[in-house]
Amino acid sequence: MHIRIDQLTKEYNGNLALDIPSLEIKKGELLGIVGNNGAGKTTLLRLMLDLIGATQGHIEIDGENVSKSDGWKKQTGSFLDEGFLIGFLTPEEYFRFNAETYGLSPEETDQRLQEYSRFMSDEIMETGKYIRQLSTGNKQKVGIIAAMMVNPPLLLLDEPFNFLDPSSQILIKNLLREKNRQTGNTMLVSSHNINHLADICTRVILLEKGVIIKDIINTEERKMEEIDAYFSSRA
Amino acid sequence: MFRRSELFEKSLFVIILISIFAFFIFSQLQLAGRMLPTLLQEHFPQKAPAEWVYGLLIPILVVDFLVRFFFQPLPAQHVRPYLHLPIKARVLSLYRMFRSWLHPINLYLPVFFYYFIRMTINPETSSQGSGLIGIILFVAINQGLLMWTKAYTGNKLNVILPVTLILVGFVLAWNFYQEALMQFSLDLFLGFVYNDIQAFAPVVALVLLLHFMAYRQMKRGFYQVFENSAPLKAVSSGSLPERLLASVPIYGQLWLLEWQLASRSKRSQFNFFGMIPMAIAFSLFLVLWGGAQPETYIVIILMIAGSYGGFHLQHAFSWESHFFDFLATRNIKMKTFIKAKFYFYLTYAALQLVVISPFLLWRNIELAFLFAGMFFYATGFGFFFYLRTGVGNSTRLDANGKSSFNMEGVTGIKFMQVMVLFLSVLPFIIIGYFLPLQHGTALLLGLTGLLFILTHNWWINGIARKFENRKYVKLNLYRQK
Repeated sequence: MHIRIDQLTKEYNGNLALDIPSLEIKKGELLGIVGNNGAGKTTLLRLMLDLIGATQGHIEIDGENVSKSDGWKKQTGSFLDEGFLIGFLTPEEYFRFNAETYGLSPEETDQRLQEYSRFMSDEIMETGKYIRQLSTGNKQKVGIIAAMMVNPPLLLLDEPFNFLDPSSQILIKNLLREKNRQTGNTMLVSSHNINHLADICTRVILLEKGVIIKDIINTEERKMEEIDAYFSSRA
Repeated sequence: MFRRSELFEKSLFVIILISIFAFFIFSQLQLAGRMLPTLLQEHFPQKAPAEWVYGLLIPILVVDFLVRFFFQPLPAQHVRPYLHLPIKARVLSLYRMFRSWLHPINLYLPVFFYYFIRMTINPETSSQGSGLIGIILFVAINQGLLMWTKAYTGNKLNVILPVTLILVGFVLAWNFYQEALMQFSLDLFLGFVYNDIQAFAPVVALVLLLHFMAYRQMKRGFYQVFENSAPLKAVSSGSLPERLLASVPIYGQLWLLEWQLASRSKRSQFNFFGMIPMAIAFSLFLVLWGGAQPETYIVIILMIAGSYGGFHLQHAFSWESHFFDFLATRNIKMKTFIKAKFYFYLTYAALQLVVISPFLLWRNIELAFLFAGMFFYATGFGFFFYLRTGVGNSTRLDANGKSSFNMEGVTGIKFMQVMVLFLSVLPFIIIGYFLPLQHGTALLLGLTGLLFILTHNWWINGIARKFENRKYVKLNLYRQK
């Protein structure tokens, strides 16, 4: 899916949290968003999902203004935080409910979940637990799987590597890369982990105080080193 | 020092309201304690008032326990923060018992009997103070029994059946041995007022035993009790009601979600499962003792007729506050979401009406008409009112909070909204009274409600639009922890 951001600003109590005059994300890109705390990564993702209103400007997904229509919802999978989980459901029930909103049957849902069995590592399915009873890491996995399992043309993940053990971080990293290559779906992943993003993303943008200060096509190794150097200088 | 989220704190308005209410209850108990001897003397002169009341201490205790069982949870919120500190489980168990003792339900019997004893026990021949101590010991029996029961069951309601069986057993025992039980109760109380050690000793021993059992049970199941979860057997998805709900066309998945929310959350499950038995009990009460003018109970009928939906929709949309970001990013239309809610609770209320209809039609047709009229009013106008005002509910609500009561976010405005709905039936009673029709009030209420049910498409569209217009503000507030 093709995303276009035009004159987008977001203010909180008069403080500018995000200011993106223009940004295009082409179909099939795996875009990494990096930045320190408060840089505006989550704000950008929330604006894309129409969870908060822009102060000015707009975001279009395939030419459709996200705040004026709902058509993009069926094409978009997302997981930002626990607000995307339904605590009183078991993971199985949650996956089914989520998949149903994308028009998937229970049989298709079960089939799609097979792909993620290694990532779930026997700790999620058939445990007899509600999501609210799972560990933070397993909740994170449930959210990521729910967003990915519907193979959405647009996938948005906020800090997907947080709370995951090292093996799961590598697994999800590989899954994202493979999915992006196989399906050509557009993916936006925000993270503090530059190494993971450098490994998988085709493009990385660096946000600082709500402004994009670097936009790098990730074939130029030197430029990723620049990002590394940028954060080192701020440490 | 630990502080709870300010969402749990009560506003000044609510504190004033609770204080007024507490004062009102206190004065009523005082009045009852002072007036009851005279009333009993007038209406039941065959026995002395003291003989009546002190002879009925056992059923009073049984009723008191039942009330406690449903309305007095074991405190958890006050104790939970200390779980993170290196404090021994036995100390926290004792502290928990102490907090449980502070529940206001422990006050009403001593307050009532303080005045009643002063009116009925002669201080020159016996001790009023000892009589009051006896009553406090009775309260302690129930308090101990309650703590043990709740600790044993993990604060859950899966002992409703045994409790019901015990109650039935008591009713049968009372039926056959009423005189003996009344005499035993009277003798025991007289033992108290005459400072008879033979009366005090077994009661004190029972109190100590129950408290010891409660302490042991609390310590044994300490972490289990604080585990914020429903019984695991409830997790098994695909139970018959769930499969039936999921198979409903269009709204099936949303109905299933509504069922899961209501049946698996601490805040709602008691009312959700308890509403139909409560409606049966209340309608039976009205049928048997309600008298010829059921309008007297119209506010309670309004609450009962709306069934669980009336309780749930007061907090409409706040129930989903924890996962509204999910709902807002999935292909779920707000209009469909609200409609699913409306149909779900309308169906539930209709089911309840069907269940209680035989009791109503049995002996009191007048009451059956009023209930039917009120069903339409409560589900038509009432649900509209709650859903419309629900657009203003922007408070995050923890559906898995420990109790149906003490809902965070219950503001003065919310209270006033509910009062407005209750008061809205008054004009119908007045107009109905002057109408030259036999069931004027019921007819007016029913027609008004029916109008709202028939036009639900129109007003649900309006509510969905209003919600969408306020979406960003609401979602932002739902995220506030």
